[in-house]
Amino acid sequence: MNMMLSKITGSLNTFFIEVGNILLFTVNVVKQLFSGPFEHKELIKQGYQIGNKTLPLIAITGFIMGLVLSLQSRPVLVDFGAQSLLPGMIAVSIIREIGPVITALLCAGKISSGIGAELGAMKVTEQLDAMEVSGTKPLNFVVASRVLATTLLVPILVFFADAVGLLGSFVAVNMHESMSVRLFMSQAFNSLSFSDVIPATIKSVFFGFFIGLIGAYKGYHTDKGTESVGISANSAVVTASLVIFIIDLIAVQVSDIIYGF
Amino acid sequence: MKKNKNQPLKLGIFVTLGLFIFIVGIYYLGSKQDLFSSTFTVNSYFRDVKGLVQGNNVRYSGINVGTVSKIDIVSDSTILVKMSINDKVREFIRKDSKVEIGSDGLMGSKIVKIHPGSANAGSISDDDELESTNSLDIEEILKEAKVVIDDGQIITKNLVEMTDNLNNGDGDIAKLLNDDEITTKLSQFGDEMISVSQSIDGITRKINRGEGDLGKLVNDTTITHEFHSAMDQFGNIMLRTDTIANELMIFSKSMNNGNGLVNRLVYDSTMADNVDTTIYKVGKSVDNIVDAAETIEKSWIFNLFSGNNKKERQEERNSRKPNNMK
Amino acid sequence: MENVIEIKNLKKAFGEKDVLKDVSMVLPRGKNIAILGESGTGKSVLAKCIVRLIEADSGEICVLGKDILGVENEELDEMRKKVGYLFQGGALYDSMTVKENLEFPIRRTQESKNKKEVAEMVEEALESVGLKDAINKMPAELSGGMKKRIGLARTLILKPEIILYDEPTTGLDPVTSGEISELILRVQEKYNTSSIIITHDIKCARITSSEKLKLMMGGKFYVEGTFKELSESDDKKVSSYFT
Repeated sequence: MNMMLSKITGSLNTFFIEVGNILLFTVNVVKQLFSGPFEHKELIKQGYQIGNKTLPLIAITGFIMGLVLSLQSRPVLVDFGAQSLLPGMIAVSIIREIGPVITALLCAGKISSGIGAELGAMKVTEQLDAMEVSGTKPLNFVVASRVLATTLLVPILVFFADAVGLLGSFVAVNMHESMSVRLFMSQAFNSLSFSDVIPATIKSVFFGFFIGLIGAYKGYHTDKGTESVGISANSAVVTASLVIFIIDLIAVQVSDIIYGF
Repeated sequence: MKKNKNQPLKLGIFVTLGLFIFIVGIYYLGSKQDLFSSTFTVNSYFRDVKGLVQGNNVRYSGINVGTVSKIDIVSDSTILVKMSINDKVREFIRKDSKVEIGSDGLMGSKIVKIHPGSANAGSISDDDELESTNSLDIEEILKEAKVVIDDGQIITKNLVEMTDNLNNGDGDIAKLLNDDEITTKLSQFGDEMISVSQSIDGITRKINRGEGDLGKLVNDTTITHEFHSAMDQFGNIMLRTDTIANELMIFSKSMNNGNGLVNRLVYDSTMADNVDTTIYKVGKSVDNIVDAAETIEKSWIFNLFSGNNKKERQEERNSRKPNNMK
Repeated sequence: MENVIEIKNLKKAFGEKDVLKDVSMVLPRGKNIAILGESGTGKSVLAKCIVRLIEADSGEICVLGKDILGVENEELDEMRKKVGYLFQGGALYDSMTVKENLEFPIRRTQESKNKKEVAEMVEEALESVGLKDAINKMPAELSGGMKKRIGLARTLILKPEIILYDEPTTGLDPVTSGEISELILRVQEKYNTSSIIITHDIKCARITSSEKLKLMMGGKFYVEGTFKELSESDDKKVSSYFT
């Protein structure tokens, strides 16, 4: 009994220590974001890696999501004789939820793990320590640039995912009936309002920030040994995915309060 | 090294394109909500806004012209609805235009409809007030439809009974009447009446039964189409009922007045009574039915269909009418 | 003679394992001290405590007259620029070329330098480690010994007053490790630095230690003296290193 209790308190302790560490790390990174020097070269490099290199993945997934979602929802709406609501319904689900969350999860899988592994390898081969002892602020150069890049580029990836998702939906609708792009867009946008777009965009910014931050945190705190690089990459994906859903949960409640539905 | 040089360019294209998508989307969305064009405010007071919320569309003759900007409770029986409407349509909205709350299809959200006013009333200006009218509720329509159908059934039953009596009746009156076209008309009419009222009854029953499926049913084109043709038939029959009723009226009058042969031949007093009451009922019900048919015709059910559909149907009906008249 | 590093009663434990138990030492200016010991005795931990890569539990570390344990972020970075640290694998930044690797510390710490000055500094540093040809190579293309030399060049480029060598000859063949040891000595003469060389390689310790040799065992200094003194020691624990 006592053993179990101590085990529980022990794991609770590690959890809180982890949370505390992440918070401290976040504070430090944010400080670095606002203090110089600003590494635009590194930012462009990371932005290229995160933005351009992830775009095909996002585009394919977004297209398939839009297509599949439309094809799946169509029979139900046809039963109700409401297939004219399909574009609007798909637009709302893509822009409010599917676009941001699928993009974020893919980025967690690709970018978060990538950053975790890269920084983990740098940590294990003492490159981060080398930067630290030469006073070159690795938190600024390595971490802040990556976190800034994900924060700025994940929302843009989300825009692409939204657009391509709607394209997929348009293709799906046209498999069954012929509908002009104009009518499709008109119907899609009729169901949308700013209270759909703005929270989704803000949410995406947070997704981006935490995708970068968690990858960097996990990489930065890698233990010794090559094995830990894999562990870091892995736990970066898991933690980032979890955090994405938590943010999503918070976002839906906050936007509910703000927009009062 | 060369690859590195292209990175900023590619990233730049990526970011620009992404932001372009976003901005175009925002602008498109904004133009749908009249965010970027100048607007003016119109106020209207309602007893019940039926679930209208901020941001719902405002339509003038079926065109989206603005949104509901604010809903406020003024007193226990008055609710103020503020609408922001595109400036471009201001000149078309008259001071005596009526405002009504309706729905954009059964499943759709609520909308505010502004009906055109009279030309000489003059255009409204900013912050003016428009009078509101109450549109019919689905419940009211169903109630009315039920009354009509019940009446219809009674009439039909009576007519059938009467025709049976006439058909099977011995004696000269039957003979005489059998030769008359009234009997054929009556029996034909009775049959039609039965089928029409059955179909209307069926539809109404379906509507009544499926509370949850209501939208599905009413939105379902097949059923609505059925309903439509039933209503059309109904209308035609009503016209004929009228003529039949009139003929019956003359017939019975002549019977009552005891003019010539017919009077002599009518020895069956029950039959005469029967005819009398039926004629009364038919007359009354016809009024009822005509009223109800008009209400239903005017009601929101037909607003379910987009303008195109409605027009088509209208044309269909128009083209059918002259044929019937011939 | 002025001491550039003074360590007093330094203690560090990881969990329940005491790694450093009461360590004290001084490094006089212009001298090289080699710390010899088996792996796992806390030599690297000691070096990392000096640059605060690892926070010490208790004790005092004075670097260039300043209490390094008490300084805050900005000042710590300033102090760190004066203390070079050569890591075991060279710790070159994989994503950058040799040139960028060397430019990086200057670019990040001395922003006022223009391109020409930076290029000159890079060239000079590469020359002093004898690897001018490798300037445009990526770290992955370099051998272990070359990586360490470039690492040393990167350390030297900031002109540190103190250099800490963490296992400079580990994983190298005897010829290369000899060359590296010679290089350390040459650099010390050329740049007039004071150094602590942490190693388990007796040959390296012999070549590089100008002043004293310290033998570390179980988180403490066991014995110190010149190479000659220690090699003639009767103590079995000491003499086992020299056989």
